[in-house]
Amino acid sequence: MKGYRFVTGAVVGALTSATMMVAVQAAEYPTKAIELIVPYAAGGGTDLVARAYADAVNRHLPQSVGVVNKTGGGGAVGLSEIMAARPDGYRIGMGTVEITTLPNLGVARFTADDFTPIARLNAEPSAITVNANAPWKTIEEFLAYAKENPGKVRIGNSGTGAIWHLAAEALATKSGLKFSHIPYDGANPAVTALLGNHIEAVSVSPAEVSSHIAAGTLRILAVMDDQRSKAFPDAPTLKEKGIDVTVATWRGIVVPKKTPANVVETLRAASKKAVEEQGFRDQLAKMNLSYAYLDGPEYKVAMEKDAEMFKVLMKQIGLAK
Amino acid sequence: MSNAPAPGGKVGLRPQDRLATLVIAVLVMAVAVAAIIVAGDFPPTMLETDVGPARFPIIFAVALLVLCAILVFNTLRAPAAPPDDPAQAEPKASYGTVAIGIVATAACLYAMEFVGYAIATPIYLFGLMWLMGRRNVIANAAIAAVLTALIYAAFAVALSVPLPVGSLFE
Amino acid sequence: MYELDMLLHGAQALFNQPMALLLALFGVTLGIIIGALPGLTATMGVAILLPFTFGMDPLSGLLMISGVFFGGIYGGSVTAILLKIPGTPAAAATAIDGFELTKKGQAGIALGTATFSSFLGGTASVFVLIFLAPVLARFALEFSASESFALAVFGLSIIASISGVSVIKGLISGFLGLLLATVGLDPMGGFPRYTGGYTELFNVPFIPVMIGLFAAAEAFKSLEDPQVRAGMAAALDRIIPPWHMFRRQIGNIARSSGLGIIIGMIPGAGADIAAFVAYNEAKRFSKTPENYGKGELGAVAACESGANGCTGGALLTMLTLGIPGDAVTAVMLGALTLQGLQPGPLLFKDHADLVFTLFAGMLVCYVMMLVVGLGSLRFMGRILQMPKSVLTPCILALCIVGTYAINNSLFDIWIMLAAGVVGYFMQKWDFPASPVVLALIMGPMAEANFRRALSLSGGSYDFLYTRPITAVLLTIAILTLMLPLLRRLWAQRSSGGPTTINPAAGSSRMGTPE
Repeated sequence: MKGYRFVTGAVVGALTSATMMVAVQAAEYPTKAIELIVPYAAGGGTDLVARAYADAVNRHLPQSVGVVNKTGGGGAVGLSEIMAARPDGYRIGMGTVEITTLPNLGVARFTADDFTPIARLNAEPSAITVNANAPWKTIEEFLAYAKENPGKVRIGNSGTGAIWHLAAEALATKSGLKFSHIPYDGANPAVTALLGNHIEAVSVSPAEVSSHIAAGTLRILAVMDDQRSKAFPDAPTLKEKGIDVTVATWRGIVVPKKTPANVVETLRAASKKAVEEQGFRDQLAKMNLSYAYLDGPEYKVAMEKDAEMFKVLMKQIGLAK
Repeated sequence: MSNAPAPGGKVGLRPQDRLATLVIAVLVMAVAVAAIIVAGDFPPTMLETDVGPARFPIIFAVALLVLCAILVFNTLRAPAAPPDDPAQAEPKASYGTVAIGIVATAACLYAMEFVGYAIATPIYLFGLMWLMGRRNVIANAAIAAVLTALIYAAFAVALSVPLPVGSLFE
Repeated sequence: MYELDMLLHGAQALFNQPMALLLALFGVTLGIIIGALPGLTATMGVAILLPFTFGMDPLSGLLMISGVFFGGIYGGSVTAILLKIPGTPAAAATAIDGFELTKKGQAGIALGTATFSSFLGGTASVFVLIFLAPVLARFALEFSASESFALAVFGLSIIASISGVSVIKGLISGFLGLLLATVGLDPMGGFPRYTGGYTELFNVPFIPVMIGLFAAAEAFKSLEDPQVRAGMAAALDRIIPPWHMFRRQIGNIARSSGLGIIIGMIPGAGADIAAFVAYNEAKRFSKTPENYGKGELGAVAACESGANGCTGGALLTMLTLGIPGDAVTAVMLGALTLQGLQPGPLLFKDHADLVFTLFAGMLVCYVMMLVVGLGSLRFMGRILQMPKSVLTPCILALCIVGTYAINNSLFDIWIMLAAGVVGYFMQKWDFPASPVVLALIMGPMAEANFRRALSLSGGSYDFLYTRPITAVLLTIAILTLMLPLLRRLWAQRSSGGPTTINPAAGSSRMGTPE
């Protein structure tokens, strides 16, 4: 295999400069460029986190980390590819909350157990947001209206089975309400529909509506988090209001399950150093993304908790296959 | 264009075109019927007011069946072309070359999975140039190598779009 | 006038920043290259450059990205006209008549017209963005699911006018495309349809199919003729269209630019739809509609001004409302937030200086695009002087690499090859390829929005006629589709026998409303 690697090195010569070759021979991993697979399109939230991370982690690894977008199937294509990658650490991926939701939909070949978590980088809770002209000033008023008019309140989400749809469903089941869930082709079109008053609310993250909140065109009624959001301290959590629903999307680095321990350790250490950089945190803050670092083991616990929650929820609402 | 109409006038169909059109129509109808059968198994969505995932494919497939039926009808009714109309004579096309070209492309793709872009592409380019009648082996090899390098430079180096490395080298 | 004043200030500020201008030039050039290469779209170009803008000041970063956006939309036309490789989906419409012009030996004028039309359409759209943004901003919000559905149906009705020799065959191609467009995850329930278990098929592989149907099919065709194989492709001839020729296109370009701007503002509709709609309307208003599809310069002018007209429209809704109208502006929205700028009504208030400097820069970008475009055409035209026996293999290799680049997926290349083989046979028996591409663009939009509108209205079909924009668009769609058919039927009856359907008889110009 060494020989083949050398041939590749020559072919992909442009990627490796001569100075780096010297450094390479010292350490065992990594000896060549690492591919970071992003299961979503370039320019989206997951992609932005990935690129900011790649930028930061490059300073802590002897080899460069390059972002490769593998889109399709609401993340299923890219995540399958990460799962099926050769477990040598040269193909790592952005693991998102869909790792825990897609298996239940019956469209994925993987489960949460097929990945070894390296580091969680970012997490965004769901929030109930309405148009600023809407009659509801508080979440209580909103929920009371929904109770009186079952099925009349239309909540836009980013696609059936996607995280924001599940968030709205979780709220519905926990509070015994009936909403009309309208799937859109991503969070942005749903927000557009809310701006045009074509729907009553959206369940996307505060980050995805922040510019409209600032402009005074939309209003956040509540967030589905354990604590209030730092950016919007006025919006209460659902927990405060006695509804125990916390749903969040998260993004982090994962590798295939069988990746050797030394590779996992190297990546964990480098990731820890990368996220501790102020530049990385500033970058996230600029993009309205919340910094939510968890080291591998804790990330694993969080992942397993979500996997269990979604399994129950999706069976309950009839989404699970 | 095998049956391009003369301006304003009626056009006849040559027997081989009539046959081909009928074969295509039947193939498309088969696809449409298959689509309808498969769509029958699509489960309804959980949204109450939705028409379900099967509705649109079935509408499209039924429309295809109707259109193909019209095409078959028109084709059967069209008058036959005079057998040896010199205006209809085309230069003899060499379908063998096309077939070889398609097979070569498939072979190139198959090879690319294993040996990657850098090896499969120049051989493919060289083969196609030979197929198209260029017999100067050295010049062809040089052109193939240069084109491979140019495309590589544009995609992989300048735009950092990775090209297949091949599973043997991964 | 406030805007004019601010714009002049902006221009002044801009010319004090040579670095920003240089980066804009770089962006435009890169955009043209990316647009011209198959598989690489403006969206991807903007995404590729995004990380480089991290360290730049906002103006430079945003101008570079705008440059890529503008250049990328235009660049698709170059390969579409010269080689029938639509570099971008919008260029699929340009390819219909553009490549016919090349076959006639008028590649130069087609390219020149495309460049001028792109420039004019784009510049007009930036002016609309500057002066009318606040007035037009609310328009995008009027578009709900039912309006988008009606727009998609209107788009589909265009199949009738791009069908070529036989309307029936065109419709069969179109419906085959619609059926193909249902492959993948069902837009409402997420159920995988016709995927055979392949996750790669969860989204319709639209660009591989397009590259296959157009470029690969054409390349396979050029393998079949031994005489052509040895010869040269075609002449380039002059590039700048003579004034008497171009003058006739001015009305056409103005109309197409206007359509492009409006369509650009509509969320979820982009340059591809604009190009096809502009084509259709140009044909409707043309004095010689029968020439469309056979190499009509007006078609190229319409598609390109329509596609580039979209840029300003899409930017308008993105900047004023914070709503990205298409994939490119979605990435640009990310770029803006990266720079700490929140698009939306406040952007114009809080950062007016920057915004107007940016506008001035966008106008400069379009001028750069015109200069770089015209300057490079001679060089690009050299492609045609390559012997076909080198050009054809090269096109096929580009198809393969370009298709791979979209998703880094070998699976996509197999799809491209299959589409190429199917396209070859379609071409052989006069089944046009462009309705398939149009259906792939419009089909998912029609289905998703119809079903969404149904959910929004609680299951009632009222939205089809109670909403004015929807009703008007649907009426135009039905008329567009039915009139040529009725006319043909009538012509058949009066001539008393079946004729192979003839495009000349189907002039859809007269009697259509508008």
